[in-house]
Amino acid sequence: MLPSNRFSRQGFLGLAAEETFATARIGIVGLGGGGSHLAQQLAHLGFLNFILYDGDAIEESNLNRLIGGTNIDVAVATPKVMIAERLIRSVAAPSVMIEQHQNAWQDNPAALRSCDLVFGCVDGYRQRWELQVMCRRFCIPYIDIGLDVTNAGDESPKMRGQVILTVPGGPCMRCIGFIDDENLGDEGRRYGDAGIHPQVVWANGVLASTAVGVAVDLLTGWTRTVPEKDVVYLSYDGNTGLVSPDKRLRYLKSQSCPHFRDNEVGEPIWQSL
Amino acid sequence: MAAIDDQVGELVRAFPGTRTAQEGGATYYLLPSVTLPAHCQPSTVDLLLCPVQRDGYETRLFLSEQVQRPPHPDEKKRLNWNGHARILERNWHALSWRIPGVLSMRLIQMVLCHLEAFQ
Amino acid sequence: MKCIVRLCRNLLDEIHSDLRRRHAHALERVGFLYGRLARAGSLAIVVPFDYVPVPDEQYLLNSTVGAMIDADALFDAHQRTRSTGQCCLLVHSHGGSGGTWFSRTDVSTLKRIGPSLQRMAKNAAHGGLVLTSRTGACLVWLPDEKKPTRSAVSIVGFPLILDRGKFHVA
Repeated sequence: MLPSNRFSRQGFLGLAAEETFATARIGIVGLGGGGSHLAQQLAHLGFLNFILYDGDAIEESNLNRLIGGTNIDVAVATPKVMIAERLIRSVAAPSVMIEQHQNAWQDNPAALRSCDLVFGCVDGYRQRWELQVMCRRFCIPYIDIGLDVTNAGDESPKMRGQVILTVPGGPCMRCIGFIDDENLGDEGRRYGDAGIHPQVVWANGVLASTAVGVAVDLLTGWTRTVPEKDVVYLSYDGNTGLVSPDKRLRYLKSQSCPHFRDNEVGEPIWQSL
Repeated sequence: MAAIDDQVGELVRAFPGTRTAQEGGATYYLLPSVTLPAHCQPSTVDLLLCPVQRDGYETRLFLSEQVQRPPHPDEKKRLNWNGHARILERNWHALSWRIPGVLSMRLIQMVLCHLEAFQ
Repeated sequence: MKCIVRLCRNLLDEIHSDLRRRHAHALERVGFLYGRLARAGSLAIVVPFDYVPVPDEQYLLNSTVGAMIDADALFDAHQRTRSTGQCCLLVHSHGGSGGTWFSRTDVSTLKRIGPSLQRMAKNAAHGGLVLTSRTGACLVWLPDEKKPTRSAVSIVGFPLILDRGKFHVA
């Protein structure tokens, strides 16, 4: 099938790409600085089936980075998922289907289970881990993005981010050392507060664009390469602008994951005692 | 420390219907329809025991609902809900509640010590 | 879309490795794939997690079909389904790399096996999966349904293959 005129410039992605994008059901959890970029880019590419989750409304402090957000939205406290829907519809074909949830995905998980691919643009390691667990259970690839800026005394601030793709059967975020008991514990001791992280539009854009590129390659195989060790873990150094494979991948010993048993899929199986 | 089978047996006798499942490398015990003290609302909840380190706590007891009760006169004993988690396809809630010496306790002792928070 | 089977690529590779092996007399091999059923609203999701090849000695000598398995093979599958409540799919390969569908013989076989497995575990989904090197097609009997459903199939890995079951069935 030849690409339609709208997508004639992305024909290099393969003849099946347009139909694949139109068919794939995409979940985006978190429609803030990162998620809003993702929604915009996926819509431009021709994705037509979105499940969106975010319980928040836009505030003034979001305007520095929330793609599609306006002064009027801040004045009327437009929910972020509505801004994302508006953004997607302004670009996508009329046949686009968008299901928006103005709450946490945990309060309405059924729609997320139905997704072919899930993007997590959330704060905190606990939130990320819960998405990882859900995606493993229902055999869904998971792409995580995040950004943080830390101050280190007299030195310049350090901006770091990540784009991680894990697939069922391969290493998870614990295997690659991104999530561990220590960072979950630190967060738990702060009463589960992930904190207010500095965020800027250009860095979110780099991460979201990178994540979209990873997703497109996953769906089309256009680069004809398979990630080494069956996982993608890209680190962004915002100070230098460099995105590169995280050095932790060098120490990843096995491509199989010891944190999820093969049979821990679907609804949990409770054993009587 | 008594063998885990003994401890599990003890738990089942105290909380009929107790079941177990694994997720993400941890084992959990589900104690269904446990009755809390009368001043708690709701008074019957499901409990989920995680007897290993989680979220910075040595053990954690999750409840199926965020229970209300009249404020305790001692501020340190007021209910401080800080553990909202999705585990085994359900949403759970836990208090900030540390128990000295919990790792040397039997499973049933862990549960009872956690439940002291609701006295 | 009413049902989707999400098959991990490394499990698919394991299945292909087995199905490719030569058999002393059968022209093709078959196996049983076990998994769990979950729901996402009205969508049924089948996630297989264990593949069990049919042992060599459980194939019958029959030159009219690619493979015929004996009563023991069927009994084992039924027993496991009954004792675990898991979904059970009869798997074989048609070779090639494009889309595929079941032959008339396949459908006839599945029309006996699907409902029979349903009686073993009524809350699971059962039926058949036919593979090519790239993708697959699936026919399942969902709980409480007498007629089978054509299921979408996703191969989850690198790349992610989404087959919505649109391959034309002659």
